[in-house]
Amino acid sequence: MLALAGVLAYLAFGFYTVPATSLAVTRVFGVIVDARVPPGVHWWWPRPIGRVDRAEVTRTFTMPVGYLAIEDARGIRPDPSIASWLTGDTNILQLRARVNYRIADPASYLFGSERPAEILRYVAGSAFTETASALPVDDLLTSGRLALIERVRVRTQEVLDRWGVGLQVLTVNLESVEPPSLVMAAFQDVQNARADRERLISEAEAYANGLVPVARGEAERKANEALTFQDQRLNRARGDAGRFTKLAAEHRRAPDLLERRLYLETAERVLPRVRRYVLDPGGDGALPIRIIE
Amino acid sequence: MKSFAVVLALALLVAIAVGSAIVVDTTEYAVVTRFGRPVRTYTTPGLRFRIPFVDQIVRLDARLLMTEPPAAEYLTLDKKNVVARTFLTWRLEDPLRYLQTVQLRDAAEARLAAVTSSEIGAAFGSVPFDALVSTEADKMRLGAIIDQVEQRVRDTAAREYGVKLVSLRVERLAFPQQNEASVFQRMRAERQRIAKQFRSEGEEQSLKIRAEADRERARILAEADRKASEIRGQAEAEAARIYADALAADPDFYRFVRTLEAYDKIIDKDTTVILPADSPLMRGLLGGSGAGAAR
Repeated sequence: MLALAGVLAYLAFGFYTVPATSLAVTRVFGVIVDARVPPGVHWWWPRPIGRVDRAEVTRTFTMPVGYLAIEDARGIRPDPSIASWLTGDTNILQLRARVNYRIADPASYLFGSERPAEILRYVAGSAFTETASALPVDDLLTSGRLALIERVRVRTQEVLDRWGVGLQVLTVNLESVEPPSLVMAAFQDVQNARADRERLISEAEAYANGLVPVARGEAERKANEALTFQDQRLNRARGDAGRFTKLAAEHRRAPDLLERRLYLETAERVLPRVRRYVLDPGGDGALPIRIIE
Repeated sequence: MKSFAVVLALALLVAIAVGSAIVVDTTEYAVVTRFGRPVRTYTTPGLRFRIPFVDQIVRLDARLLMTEPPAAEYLTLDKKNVVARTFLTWRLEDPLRYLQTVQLRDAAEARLAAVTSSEIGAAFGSVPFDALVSTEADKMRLGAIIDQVEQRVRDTAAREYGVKLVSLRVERLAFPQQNEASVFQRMRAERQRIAKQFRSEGEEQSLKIRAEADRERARILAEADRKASEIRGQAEAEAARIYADALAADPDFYRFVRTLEAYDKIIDKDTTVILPADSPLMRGLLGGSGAGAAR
């Protein structure tokens, strides 16, 4: 009777819950029986026969790379041996990144390795080293950042899978990449110089943009002037020609009369302007009027 | 009295059963030793048995383990110092050999670290620095060098310690602390050079753009002048043709008319006019005989 009560009491210890955020792994005598027990209330052999372990599979964990979470929280600058990487052109860069990961395989995570998160940290660090030591510093500071984090993510995941660590890398966030503080000013001056270059170029472009359209306008004006001249010249020519043609027709009818009239009209118009007249009684010049000066 | 004996016998049985059963967990290996001598090795989990009170159990970690030897300084072929921090992941493969050679985890890690350090020292010492750190893909051989070291350490670890090396990687490369000042000096000089280059490039581009704009302006204006001249020339030619066409009808009369026009233009108030007395104009005014001619 007592033994039965004892057995029942032992079995009653077997009830356990798995929270909604987790999966559980059940073992009996050290052998994994169910590697993915879903959330809910379940029963499993209590110790020492069986064991139940839970792993939070929905949570996103974060592992800092390039600094230590504890030091960072206290505002301590990380040691250069943690924060600094060598670049391919033998510069030194300080890099801070966060690897976000989750538990993909509870059994591997719980039983596959001794310190899965630390392994992740070192693998990510070595992926940064392998990538950074082949890239120039300017790439890492600018355009190469995306490629860097993508390579680190892929490489880290590949290694974790190969070793059966049971973690999945979700994202790698590069929080900052910067030169060491002692050479920061020199790096900033390069930024300034680049800005100066852009400024000089855009100023020159502004100058060019002001100059060339004005010249085009000027060209247009010259062309219009020429066309106006053409218009005027041709119209005058046509007018003159027309007038002359009419006059010549008149002249054909009565040449002497017209010539005399024109001559006198001109004399009427011209001579009143003139102050000095000289009469030449013996004049025999070829021209009817001789002009002095 | 009889029931007491039964209970006692049962208790003894249970004690023996419990004492002889051993659970080998999924995370471990178990080596059964009898009087200090290993007799059986369990590398798979489950319920196992032993002779109670005689057989001892040594449990060993079967999981993937990581060892991070402290960072060490190495010398490359071209006598450059480089600090490398490595890490190793490994697991027990041959528990018996492991027990015979290293026995304790610390000892195993110390030996792996020592082997790693000497292999890396040898490998780095036989390559130039730019085989480890370089932007030139054909020089850069860090991966291959580490793979080689890994293989050598793996062989040694398996042979000597019953350990399967899963990986050996370089977690970080750095310059030694005492070289840092000169590295910073070099970085600064390099930045100054780049900054200077950017600024002179800016100047150069700016001058070029301005010169091109000036030239473009000159070209546009010159072309405009040329076109305008052409148009004017054509206009003159066309006008000349129109005149010629019209005047061809009566050239002599034209000469006469044009001469009159010229008088109109040329003669002003400062002109002295000499009129012959017998000019048609004067004849009419002076003699009266010219009146006929004037008509």
